[in-house]
Amino acid sequence: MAKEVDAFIKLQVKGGQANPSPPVGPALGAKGVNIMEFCKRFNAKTQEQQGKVLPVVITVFKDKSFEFIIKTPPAAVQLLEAAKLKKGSSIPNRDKVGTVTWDQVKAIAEDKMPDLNAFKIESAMKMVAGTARSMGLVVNGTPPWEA
Amino acid sequence: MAWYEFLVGFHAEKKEIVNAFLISIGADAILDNEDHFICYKNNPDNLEEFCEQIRDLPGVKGNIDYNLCEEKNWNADWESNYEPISISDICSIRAEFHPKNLLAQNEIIIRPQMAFGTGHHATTYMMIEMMNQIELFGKEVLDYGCGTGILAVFAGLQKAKCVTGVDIEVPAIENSTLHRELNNLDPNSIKFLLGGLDVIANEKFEVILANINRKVLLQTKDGIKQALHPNGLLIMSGILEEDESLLVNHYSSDFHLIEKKKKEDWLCFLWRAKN
Repeated sequence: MAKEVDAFIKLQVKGGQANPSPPVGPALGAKGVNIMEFCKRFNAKTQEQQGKVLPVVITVFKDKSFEFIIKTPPAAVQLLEAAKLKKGSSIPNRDKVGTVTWDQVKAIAEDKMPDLNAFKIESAMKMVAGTARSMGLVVNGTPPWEA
Repeated sequence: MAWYEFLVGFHAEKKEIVNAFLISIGADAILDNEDHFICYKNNPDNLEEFCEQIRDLPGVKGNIDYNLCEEKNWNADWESNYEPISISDICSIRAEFHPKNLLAQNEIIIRPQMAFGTGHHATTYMMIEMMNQIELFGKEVLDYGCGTGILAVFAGLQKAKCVTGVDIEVPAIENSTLHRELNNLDPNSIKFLLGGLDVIANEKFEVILANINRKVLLQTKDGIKQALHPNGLLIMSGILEEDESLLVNHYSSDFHLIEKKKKEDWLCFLWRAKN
């Protein structure tokens, strides 16, 4: 029989560096989960992404056992990395603060396909490009489907 | 370590963007509560300035409240409820509040706090099984990354001649020391030191226990080899099955693989140092 779920906890913590301090400690401790066991497993799974903030969704069951899934960073985070920008424009439509290429948009769209509500890569790319524009990023060049 | 939490509201359609900007301005961690974020920052240089940076981010809504996070043992709830565990017929691990296991050959008493290793985790379980297969009596043992000190305590109960535990985390050394006392072991023969392999200087051991992780194990192979007597034994765990070939290839140049165990998706290896 499937185990009864107590809670879903959505955290973003640095790869390879989870420890029992906040937010891992309070979020999991409040649910009676063995924090050290989570840290050991999370750190082992994310050693390659040391120091990078990664989203993790933890399912806590009524018997205090848990499972977790590590996701790739949100498209907006990847766009900032691609544009090598620290902070986006605060007035997105007036100040264009950086650029990304359609190749970069495609790579991010491919990575986020499972999380985006899109069946085709083209639709996913349009969503990612939309996010880029709303952050003040210009997508350079012509979309591949218009080229 | 002073952790601060910042309550960040946002316009729903800008959630992902606010998320990205929080990371870009240096958030150490984020708790996603659907309609707001709690952003965590360790030792911010300037609290007010960080608050202002958050307030200025596009998509952020309202004022930014912040608090200093309470320092406490977050694992306390689990610790007050956990079940004692028996490792094969080798030993029983229990808290002081559990009744004594009269059938157990060895009994370890623990009061786990913010350190790793209670016997419930597959890696600790296999480490103790593997330790039971080798002779520890009269041996000089190093517990590298000792966590709760549970492996060092087990080595002490097996009458190792001397045991040194090292760990880079202060809570681990405190918890290990407490466990030495709870199990009535002699502080002259079991010591715990804060640090990595550097703190043992040129000491040599006959057995090294290393329940750490792949990254540290890959990085410190030479240090481990140097701390082992020729033909010394190395028991290691903390390695996921998917990392097996990487680790085995790396260690095979200096060590003979004697045995491998698997539990869940974790592995444990017993190696003998090549001369």
